[in-house]
Amino acid sequence: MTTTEPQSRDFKKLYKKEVANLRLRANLKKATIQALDKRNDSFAELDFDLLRNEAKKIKQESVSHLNELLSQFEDNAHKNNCAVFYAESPEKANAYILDVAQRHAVKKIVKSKSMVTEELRLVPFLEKFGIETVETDLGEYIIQLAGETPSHITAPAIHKSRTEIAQLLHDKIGIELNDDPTFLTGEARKALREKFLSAEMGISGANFLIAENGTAVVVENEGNARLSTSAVKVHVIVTGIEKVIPKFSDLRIFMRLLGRSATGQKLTSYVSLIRGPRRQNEKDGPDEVHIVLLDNGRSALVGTEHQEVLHCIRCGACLNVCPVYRSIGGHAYGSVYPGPIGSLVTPLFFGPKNAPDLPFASSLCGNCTEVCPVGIGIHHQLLAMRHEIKAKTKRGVEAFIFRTFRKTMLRPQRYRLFSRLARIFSSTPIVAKAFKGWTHYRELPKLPARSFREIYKSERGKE
Amino acid sequence: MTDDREKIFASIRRGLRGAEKSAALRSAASPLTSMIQHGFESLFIKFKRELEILGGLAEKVENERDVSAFVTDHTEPASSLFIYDDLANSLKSIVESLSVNRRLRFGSEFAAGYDKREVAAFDAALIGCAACVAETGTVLIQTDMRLPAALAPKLFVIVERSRLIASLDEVFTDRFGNSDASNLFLITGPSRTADIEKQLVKGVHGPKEVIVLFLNQ
Amino acid sequence: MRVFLFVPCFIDQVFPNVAVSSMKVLKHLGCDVVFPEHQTCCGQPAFNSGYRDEARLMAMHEVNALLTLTHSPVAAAKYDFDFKHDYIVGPSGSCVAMIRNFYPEILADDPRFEDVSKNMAKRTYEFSEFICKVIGADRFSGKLQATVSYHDSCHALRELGVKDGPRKILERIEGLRLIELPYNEVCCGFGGTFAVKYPEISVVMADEKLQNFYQTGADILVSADSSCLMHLEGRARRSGSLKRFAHIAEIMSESIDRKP
Repeated sequence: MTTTEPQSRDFKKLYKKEVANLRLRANLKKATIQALDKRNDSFAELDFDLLRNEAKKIKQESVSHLNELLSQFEDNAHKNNCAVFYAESPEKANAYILDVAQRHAVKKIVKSKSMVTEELRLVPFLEKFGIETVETDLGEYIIQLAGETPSHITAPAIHKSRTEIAQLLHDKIGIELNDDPTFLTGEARKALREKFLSAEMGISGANFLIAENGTAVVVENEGNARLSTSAVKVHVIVTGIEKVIPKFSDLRIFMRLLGRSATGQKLTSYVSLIRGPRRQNEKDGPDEVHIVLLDNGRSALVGTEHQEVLHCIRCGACLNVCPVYRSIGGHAYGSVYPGPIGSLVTPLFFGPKNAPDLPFASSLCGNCTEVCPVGIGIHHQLLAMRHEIKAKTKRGVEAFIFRTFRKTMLRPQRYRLFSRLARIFSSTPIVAKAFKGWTHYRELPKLPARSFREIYKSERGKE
Repeated sequence: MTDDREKIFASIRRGLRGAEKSAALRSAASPLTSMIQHGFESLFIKFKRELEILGGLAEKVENERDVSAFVTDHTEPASSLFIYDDLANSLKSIVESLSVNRRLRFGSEFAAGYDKREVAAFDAALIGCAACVAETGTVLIQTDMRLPAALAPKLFVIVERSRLIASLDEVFTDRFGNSDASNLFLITGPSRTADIEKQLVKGVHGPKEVIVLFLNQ
Repeated sequence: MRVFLFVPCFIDQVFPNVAVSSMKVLKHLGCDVVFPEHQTCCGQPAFNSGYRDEARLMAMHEVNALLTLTHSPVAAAKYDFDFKHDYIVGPSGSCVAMIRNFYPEILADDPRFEDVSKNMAKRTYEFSEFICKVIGADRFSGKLQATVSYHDSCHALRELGVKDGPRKILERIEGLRLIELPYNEVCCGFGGTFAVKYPEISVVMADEKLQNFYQTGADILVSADSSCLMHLEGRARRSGSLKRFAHIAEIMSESIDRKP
């Protein structure tokens, strides 16, 4: 058992608590609808399908040449004076980052938003060793102060209202109680500015790694990533091995898709193209840049039916559009990766045993697939996962029901018998009890006296 | 500490063996998807519209005197301005006229390893840029001093009109991909967040105001 | 034009009027409609719940059953279905999607069914889609005084691409007023076994959909999928709503009666 394992096994318990939280649902509804409206507007002047096809082609090419591209990236990163470290597991990645910090006697770290570091549970790990590690993205900062985990890939504090945030900042950093977002942001800026000025090390993720020139691309809006990567002596980039793409020119496609899909921006406020530590003729920037490439289950997906899950650029559009996510929020998933893509990534990265219910927690409406900017067939992937899981579970009530159902359906005589029995028992309490998942919340339809085939037969008899 | 490179590569190789032998990596660049292609005036209109939607400001100025007048108008008396060296060297008359009632600091005053607290208190930074992108209202900067432009609440970008390019397609080319600098930043409007109830707030950690002046030279 | 009517099991058992109406409308539009009596279930409930093997067996049965009209034991060699001229039409977007999109996939590894399932997929249509694409919506006209909203089921919308067709059909009904639902592409929360596995989430989604429907002020919620309607109606009745929920075939059938 590792500390990085998700809590998704408790999904059935977790979602019941979250779905009953009306305020959460209201917060989520407001936020996701706004994000979606802006997304849709932002694609108005572009051909989404064309860009998506290109993005998908590039990602397919990237995964099918992953070793070649990683080697190329690594070579170029070395030429740029970066250190590259491959970590198979979160433990290994954490140990390396700790080692870097300790070698430089680092006391304070500023960190920008990164899902991979959430996957590593890196912050609590570093804090255990007495290294203050501060989240500097406003949403992440709020979440860190609250002692929670993010509930959305791009909007970590989406579940919180301004009132809750005001109270939290009042309690934790002692500011005046005022729920105006401009005021709250200004106060956070002040508190975090001090952190940037005193930190020795910065940690960021990377949205893309460019094989042909060794560039790490960091996309953000607040300017905190720019500072976390610039105002420090040592910069550690942590990302997944699947983030490598072949060409610098491929950013033409991804830069146009990512901001629009995430927040409806044509381009995020800042794109940092980082090519290593401070050069001789430069006066600031880190003296060392380390790039940690995490596997944690990714390489095992290459060549499988689920390979395309590695295409994900973590835009969060599938969360915003998902009516299940909007009903229960990110925490219900018990994983750092919530929503439709999280229901895939969680069992794939951490093992299906750790998230047995997530692939089933979907109405398979397909809205996720429709908005995915890299063309992942998310709901079809969920369906395929269901097949894999059930192929291994031959026993149990549900398996028995479907086996009986199939046996009934394969014999039209049995089907007709079933139909007659259903009519006899339909209004008895036995049925209501058997279908309590339905009847507790909804009325059952009244069964008509005759099935269609009976009607058809008698009509034909008359002809 | 030894890393897991070989283990990970072996795992990927195992996965790919099952797949058909894949084609060689493509050598062509990604396609150009933007159709914007006009002269300065129409590009400027597009740039201005995109930047101003985001809360930035873009203006055409005729000469150096206009620049200093503009900066004077848009900064408080006695405020402190940081001026990047390349700008200070090429636009000397701006420096002269601004120095009358503004406190000016220059990149040349700082050496590598300077104390970052020293550059945290400027009211504004003046910087040149490598290019401006009309499609998105973006400026590209590549500097030997990252912090002043990242920390100042107000950022003035002063740029020759010839550096205005149509689209992101031209940014992601060898021209900017093969430079020796450690960094290239794309700045599109003010620093912003919508982390609290999706309400937009400008000026989180970076500049709250981004002003781009296109010089007619 | 001969149509083999595909009547999904729950329509047969629970909503026979949808099948009766479909048959009537298709006949009214000049089709020769037959009902292959050996058909039972397309296998979708098992397929979407993860029981691919069970679904596969049901798919094999359903292919043979749908293509055969004789009462003798079905045999692949004796299909009555003419792949050049006949059509399979079903009044359910999700079950049609099962046949059209997933049969070729789950039967691909069986030589007896590989080609048949592909050829069959090409001739299979959702009811409203068939009327728009094959017959022509303008061949239909009816009369009905009603204010309705149309609910896009996810499978009809995203798996089959059915969007404008049903609306075009509804426009052909004199006296009928169509008011669009806000957020009409959002799922209603049915999702097959999802509705009973995660009922709390399912009904939150239903309530959102119902709120949007009530907001339009329309009297009837019309859809091409009775399963969504069963879920929405069941939820609406629980809170005492008297609104009507009707399949588009039923509305068309009624509108023909009023305009002979």
